[in-house]
Amino acid sequence: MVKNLHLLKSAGVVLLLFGLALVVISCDSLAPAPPTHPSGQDPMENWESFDAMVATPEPTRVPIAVVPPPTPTKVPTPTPPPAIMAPDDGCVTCHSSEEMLKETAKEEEVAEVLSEGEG
Amino acid sequence: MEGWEKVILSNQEFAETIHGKMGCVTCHNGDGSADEKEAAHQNMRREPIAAEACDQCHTNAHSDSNSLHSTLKGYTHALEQRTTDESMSVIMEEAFGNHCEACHTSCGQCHVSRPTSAGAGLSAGHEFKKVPPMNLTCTGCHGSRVENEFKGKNEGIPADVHWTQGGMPCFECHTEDQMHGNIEPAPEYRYDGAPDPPCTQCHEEVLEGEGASEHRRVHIENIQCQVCHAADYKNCYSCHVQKSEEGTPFYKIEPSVMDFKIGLNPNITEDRPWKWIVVRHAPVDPDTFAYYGDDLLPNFDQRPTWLYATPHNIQRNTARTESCSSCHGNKDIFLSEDDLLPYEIEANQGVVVPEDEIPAPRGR
Repeated sequence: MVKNLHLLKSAGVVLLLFGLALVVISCDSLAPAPPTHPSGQDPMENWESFDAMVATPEPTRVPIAVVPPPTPTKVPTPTPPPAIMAPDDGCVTCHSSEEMLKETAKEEEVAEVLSEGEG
Repeated sequence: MEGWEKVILSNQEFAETIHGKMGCVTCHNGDGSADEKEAAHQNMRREPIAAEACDQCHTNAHSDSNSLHSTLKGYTHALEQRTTDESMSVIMEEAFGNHCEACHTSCGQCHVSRPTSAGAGLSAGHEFKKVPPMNLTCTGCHGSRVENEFKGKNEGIPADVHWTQGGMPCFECHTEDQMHGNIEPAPEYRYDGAPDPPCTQCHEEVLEGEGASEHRRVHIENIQCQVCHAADYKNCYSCHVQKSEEGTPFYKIEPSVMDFKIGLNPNITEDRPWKWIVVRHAPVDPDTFAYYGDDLLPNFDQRPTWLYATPHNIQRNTARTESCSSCHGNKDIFLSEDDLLPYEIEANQGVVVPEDEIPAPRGR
């Protein structure tokens, strides 16, 4: 059953194509003679004059689309770097040296203890 | 300690600790890149501000502002009772700063260095001590009375049994919350609110009348524990503050007296309901601030000079526990007008024990 359908379809297509072919041939034979150009030349043989004959509108100048540059891929925001600690090398250098401190860490002269009695 | 010893970073490992890694300038300001001392110490803070430094991580540090060590409210509380607004402002203008503010502490003065009033200086090469060393901090300041009582340094007076037998340092009773002011409501003075800690926190059996026949209700409800269990303690007299010609503040005080007195509680509360309390003499007199102005304690009589006390020399057996007659019928042990100096008779009317109120003799 299916095979018969396929055969019928194929036959139909062939017939259609044959019919089209007949139409084209006949149209061609019926096509009017090309107009005789005053110069006697076949305008079709002179494309430039043909173009002159065929008025084509000036193409509308379309502004060239400005394609924006591609958006850069967002880089993940890095964890803020740790705050830059103020240097303390000077502190440590001095305050780790007994020699330096003995020279510089001088307390104000202690006033004579004037208090009398237990506090 | 010599000057250099107070500021030396002797602990080589400190830089690797969490505090060391913060860097000096973070807490102390100054300029750590400078080579010269003057430049390096420009805008330096010897003592970081807790709210800016410690509070970054130790979020409860802000409550330090409620600590009596920080606020010194106990001092102002006492002064306000004896002054007017006018005289108080005179005292606060200079005298308070010269003679009282040295007791103000901060986080670092316990956890990093010695308190300023005890000489200052790093206690352990800038190491941060979670539990401050008792001998440098607590008794570094509370020396002449508390330490001497607690450790038995008063001649002839034994040390507190909590120290000798219990091996208990200060912070066993005086907790972190108390030191940091994490108490609500914030106390106005050290005996404000409930006893902290109360004796019965550990000695619960006393409430049931156990431990001694004298622990029956009539005693427990009416007598402060220290009345029976404290030994003689130091009483101070007549402190006068002034400045030298060079502007150095100093004080003069009369010699102290070892004694023991039971007085009437002038401020009976639910927290401290006892009628009978131990009283200690405070060294204030009407001319304490005379150097700074006339009559600066115009309301001197509004506050006793014999004050509620908790001597830190607790014993199981004392002169009071020898027999009933140690107190009953014993006039000498109760505060009387004979014990008062002329200028303080009026001030202590609520504390002196009238003769007819002295407990009658009882036999045993």
